[in-house]
Amino acid sequence: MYAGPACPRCKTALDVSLLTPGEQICPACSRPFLATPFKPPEARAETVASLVEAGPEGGIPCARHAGNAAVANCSRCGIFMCSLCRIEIDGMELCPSCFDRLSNEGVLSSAQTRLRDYQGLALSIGVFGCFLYVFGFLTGPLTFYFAWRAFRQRRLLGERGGAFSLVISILLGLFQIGLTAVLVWALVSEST
Amino acid sequence: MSEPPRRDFLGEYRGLAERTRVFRTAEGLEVDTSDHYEIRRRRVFYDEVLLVTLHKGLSGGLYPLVFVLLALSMAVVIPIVGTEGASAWILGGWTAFFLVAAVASFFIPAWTVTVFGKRTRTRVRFRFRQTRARQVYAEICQAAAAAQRQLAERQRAQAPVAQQPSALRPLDPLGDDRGDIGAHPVE
Repeated sequence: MYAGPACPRCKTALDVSLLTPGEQICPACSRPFLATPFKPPEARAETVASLVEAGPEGGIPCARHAGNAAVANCSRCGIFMCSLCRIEIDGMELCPSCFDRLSNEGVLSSAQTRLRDYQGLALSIGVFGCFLYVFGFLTGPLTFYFAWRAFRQRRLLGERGGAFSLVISILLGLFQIGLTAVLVWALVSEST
Repeated sequence: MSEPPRRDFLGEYRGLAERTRVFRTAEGLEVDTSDHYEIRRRRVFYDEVLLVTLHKGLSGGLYPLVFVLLALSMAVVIPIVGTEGASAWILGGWTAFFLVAAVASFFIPAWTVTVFGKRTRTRVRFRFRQTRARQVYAEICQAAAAAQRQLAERQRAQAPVAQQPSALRPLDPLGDDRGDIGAHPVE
């Protein structure tokens, strides 16, 4: 459970208001670290325009809240929505229903919080396949498959950098197949 | 899928059970925590950053364990192939190499940048790369300061304007004005 700013070494809670930018000494473990404290502005409640206050000229009611004035249209279904309903995400303004539907379908990249880790799978199979090199003709292609899915996922997510482990996975996949080939060749040579 | 925002890989932090990769976006840091099967994503927004720290420590982590396992896997084969011959020497050499690598990897110096937000925190570790760690630390501090400054300016701009005093004098309920709305003087 996250409890707020703490010493990065001993995890003792720190009072950020007492810190100044620069080197600090933790009062608990007495070890040094560099720190920069911030005081972010407090979030303010957004005011919702009432339909009565909007007057006859601005008086289009929200589809969900009849007493609130609409401030936008949903980019997907077009209904009028007030500032309570409006959700701005990935360059679109969506109503709550469309947001739920699109995030469940996995269309909204910013709303995704759970993904399959193809890069981790490629590396794991690449490493363990080296210990189980007898099955290299199976684990090697499996490594390549997950590495290909990982490259595709990175392109879809707009990731840049951090592909070193994928390259290692591909090399390990080739190593596994090579080891198995050597083993098979050695067995065939011995039998003949 | 909607056009994804640009994500630049900053660094990662590996534990024994899971790996955390940190990406920089326009709004904040995206933290992908993975158990090598599923990624769980969370965000530390720049306008919610409370504290950024940088400290130096020992590397530790997963690499010493992996090297020890590799050394053991080589060592168990030596009795099988026999202690004489070239193969025994080769396996013995690799065992010794992995043991030295295990010890050395434990003592590799590492610099860790930790970002504490209002709701969560994240860490990025850099082995050997002190310059890169300081650069990332400075970039995150600058981005957080800029985002919080912009948010404060936006809030000031949206603050309601103070009411000007009315030009009309207030009604005196006990005076001669009899300013009741709708009241008509009796003729």
